[in-house]
Amino acid sequence: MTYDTPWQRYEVPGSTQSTVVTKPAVIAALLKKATHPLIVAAHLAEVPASTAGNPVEIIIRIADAGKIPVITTPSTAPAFRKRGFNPTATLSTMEIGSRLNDPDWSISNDHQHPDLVLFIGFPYIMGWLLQSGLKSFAPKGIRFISIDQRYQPHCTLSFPNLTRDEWVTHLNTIADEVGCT
Amino acid sequence: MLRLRISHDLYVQPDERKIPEMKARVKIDELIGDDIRAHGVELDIGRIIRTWEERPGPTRMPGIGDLREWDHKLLKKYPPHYLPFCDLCCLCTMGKCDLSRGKRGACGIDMAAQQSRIVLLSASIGTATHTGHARHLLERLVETSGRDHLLDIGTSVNLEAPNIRLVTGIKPITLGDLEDVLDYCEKEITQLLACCHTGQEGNNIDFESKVFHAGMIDHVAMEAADIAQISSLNFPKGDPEAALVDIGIGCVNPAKPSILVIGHNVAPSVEITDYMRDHGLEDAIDLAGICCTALDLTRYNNQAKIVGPLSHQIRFIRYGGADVIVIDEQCVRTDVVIEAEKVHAPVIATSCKNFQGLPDRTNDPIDSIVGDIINGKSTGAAILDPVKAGEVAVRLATVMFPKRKKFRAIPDEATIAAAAKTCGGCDNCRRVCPNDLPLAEAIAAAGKGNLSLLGELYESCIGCTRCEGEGVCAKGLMPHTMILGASRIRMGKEKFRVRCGRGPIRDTEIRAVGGPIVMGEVPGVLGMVGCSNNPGSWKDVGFIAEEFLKRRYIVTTSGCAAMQIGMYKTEDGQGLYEAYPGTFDAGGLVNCGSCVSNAHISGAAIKIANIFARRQLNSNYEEIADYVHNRVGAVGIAWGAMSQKASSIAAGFWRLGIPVIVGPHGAKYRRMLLGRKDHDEDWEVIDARTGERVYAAPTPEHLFAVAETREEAMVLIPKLCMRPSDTTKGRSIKLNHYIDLHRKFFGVMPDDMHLFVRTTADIPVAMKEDIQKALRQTDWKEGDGRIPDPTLLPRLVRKGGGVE
Repeated sequence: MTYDTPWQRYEVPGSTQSTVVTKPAVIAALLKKATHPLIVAAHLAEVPASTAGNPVEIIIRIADAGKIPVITTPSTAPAFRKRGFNPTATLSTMEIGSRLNDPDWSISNDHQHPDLVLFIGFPYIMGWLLQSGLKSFAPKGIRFISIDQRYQPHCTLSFPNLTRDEWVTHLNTIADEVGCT
Repeated sequence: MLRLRISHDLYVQPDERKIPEMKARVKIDELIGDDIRAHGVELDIGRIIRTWEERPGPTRMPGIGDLREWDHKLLKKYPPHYLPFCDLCCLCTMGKCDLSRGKRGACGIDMAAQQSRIVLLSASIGTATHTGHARHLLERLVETSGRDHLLDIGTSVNLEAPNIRLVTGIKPITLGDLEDVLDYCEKEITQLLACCHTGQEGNNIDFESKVFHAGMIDHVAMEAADIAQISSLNFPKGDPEAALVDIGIGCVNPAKPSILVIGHNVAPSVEITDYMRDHGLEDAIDLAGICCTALDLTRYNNQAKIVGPLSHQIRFIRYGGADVIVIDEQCVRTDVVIEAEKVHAPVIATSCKNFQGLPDRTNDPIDSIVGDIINGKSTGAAILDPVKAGEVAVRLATVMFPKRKKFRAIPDEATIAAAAKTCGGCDNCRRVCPNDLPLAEAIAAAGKGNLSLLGELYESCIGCTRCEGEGVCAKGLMPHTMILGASRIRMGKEKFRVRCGRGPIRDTEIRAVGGPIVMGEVPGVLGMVGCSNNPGSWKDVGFIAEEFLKRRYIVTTSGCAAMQIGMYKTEDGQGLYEAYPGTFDAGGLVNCGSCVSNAHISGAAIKIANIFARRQLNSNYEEIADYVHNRVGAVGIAWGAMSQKASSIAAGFWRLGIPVIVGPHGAKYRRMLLGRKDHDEDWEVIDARTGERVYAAPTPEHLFAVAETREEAMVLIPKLCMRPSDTTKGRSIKLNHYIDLHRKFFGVMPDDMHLFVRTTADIPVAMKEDIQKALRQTDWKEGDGRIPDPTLLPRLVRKGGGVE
């Protein structure tokens, strides 16, 4: 297993930290395998355009291809709506954490708790704390995966620290792979 | 000799204003009874406490367990949501212990309890700090004004100490009475800290209850501190038209000697002012301050200047504006002596809590202290006598001014550009910046001669200087200093106005707006408080305030938040304090004062329950909190909260059931108190008229929440102002603001609107069609229109029975 250093150098985690995913196809494979995947997006998913594409547009592609529900924070929803995509739900970052900690909570009508959650677009420290809470308080067995530009140490898996272009390229790879049947 | 000791307190109801200090010892030469004959009897009574016209309620001076039941009610509705800052506990030598993923530590503690313990530790530190401040201030004021000095908070403020009366049952009349109040606070803080020891409390909810207790005590101590200084130093007494004073780095005149005071305890600043007045130096020397000492100084001397909030410390010191720096306590940079040396400014420490390594010269002759500093034998001195410190500061300023010539530690543009060329773009500076500011990008641009990107970071930089830490930059660049260099000209022009702290809310104001607030017709009361640890520009604080002032909310404020509101201008170029009145009324901007003035904000909510609704105040915490929680649409916003004091201030609001919103950095307090709007059963209240349990919607939805962006905070505010008692007109007004702001910032109507519309009468007229259309797409059903007399306390049901 390989690790990276937290983007914010002083945000030292604890005894365990996320395994780095250098091959985004691995995440696509896990998404396909998951029975109740979920994407959670915060406002930094909408970043100035990269030559490789826009993260919000790529997330929409992933969600559409994999029929994956998307929860956004309130500030993030307009970026999705203006691209013709209505998020499944809108909740604040901390409300998302509180719901994911509840084993009886479900985003879908089948009353099943998500078994894989992708996080994207979080201000570094908010993502860090949200995922730290989930690490200790969420039901066991859920895969939490950060696909943010910066390495997040409290998930099951995380992208390493990337440049913006590398990040968007990684996201595109996931979308391409999920779109392949 | 026969000695009798009575451990209980003795209550007397004296003629209010004629009782001086009361001795609790009685000597009896001869005692003769049917069965007893004694000589030389001495009777010691624990304490004599003045009672007042209102009978005491059930919880006089409550201990750490006495309000547990109330706390648990709130914590059931708003369960803690934890955000561990670390997987480990390292508080005892059995550890470190890994508590992540369900593990327990060597002492048996789990992650939830550990997080709560740290929250309690934080709140206890905050409470101890305010109480310690209050104690030192009171000792000083008793020394100068006497223990029998009558408390005078103004003719329109009969309810002078709502927090103190509510919690302790004491109606303070003199400064000496506040000593009893602080005795109680200190006792409780000791017990709270004891709970943090290994092997004490083990349940997270019980820890949280103690956090609330720390908060309640904090507001008592803050109130004691502020009413003491208002009375003794003749600060504004609830005056809505308290003076407007200057704020901003550019307000300090570089052509004059200047003294900078930093901290929270105003006593040394008062003595500096008095010395300047006594020697005719008021116009010759500029006296300016940073943090709450500055706010309190302007309440005493409105010719004094405020430099700015906490984040302005290093930038002003390096700007070279201070010829002498006088520090007291709290929120003072712990490297202030090192920073001051860079600009050859001496430092005078005035508090034993904060010596900063300086030699104690309290008992030395003034000429000797001044001489040693001027001759370079010493970089400063600790002087614990405020009078002496005042004289030393003034004399030093006069002598240092021509020697220093406002020496600066800020480079010019050419130096910055030359240094910037060496930047390797490693991003290490950004990776230690709490705000993740794009420093490397800005430095790269500066290397090409464009300093504007560095200048743009000025408002978002919290001034921590972590980017300049040892080893951060391999090239030895100083990003924070470069930001300041790129902002030199704007710093010199930084001039705003802020209304100095008015102190308490007048009883007459409460009578006038109590009804509209409880009915919901005044849409809400905002308490904008806290520090300058903002996630973005400080102007966001003013931006939020302006939006709600325009919407006719009552905006109260204090501390660094009050300064940041002042450091914002409307599109018309007006300051908010100039554009809006200082009255506690719809559309009023009420600066109560410094950190300790926060007690007037909680006090206003308590006053509404007592003065407007005539609920018993004396020692009746639970009932008053129940009233405030269910009826008073108040919300605290601490956008840039940083300190442990901010956590204890928030905790005091939580126990009253008042929600608090923090900015993104506030998530580092490690836990939120979040309601679940999707759990209908959590939102039942008891209708005190009938005893029936009725659904009252998630009002308010959360007790402690983080907002990711200022827009999220601004939408959350009107939502958290809703209360079960809102009339249809009031709910309609509140919904109007909630929906309008949601549309404004997020482009659509909120998806939880149906939860808050009880009947069609609640629907804002201007949005009726859209809302009804949206309601039809949900499972919304029209309610019966009955508005409950809401309570969480079965004992308050007027009709017998009906409730378990």
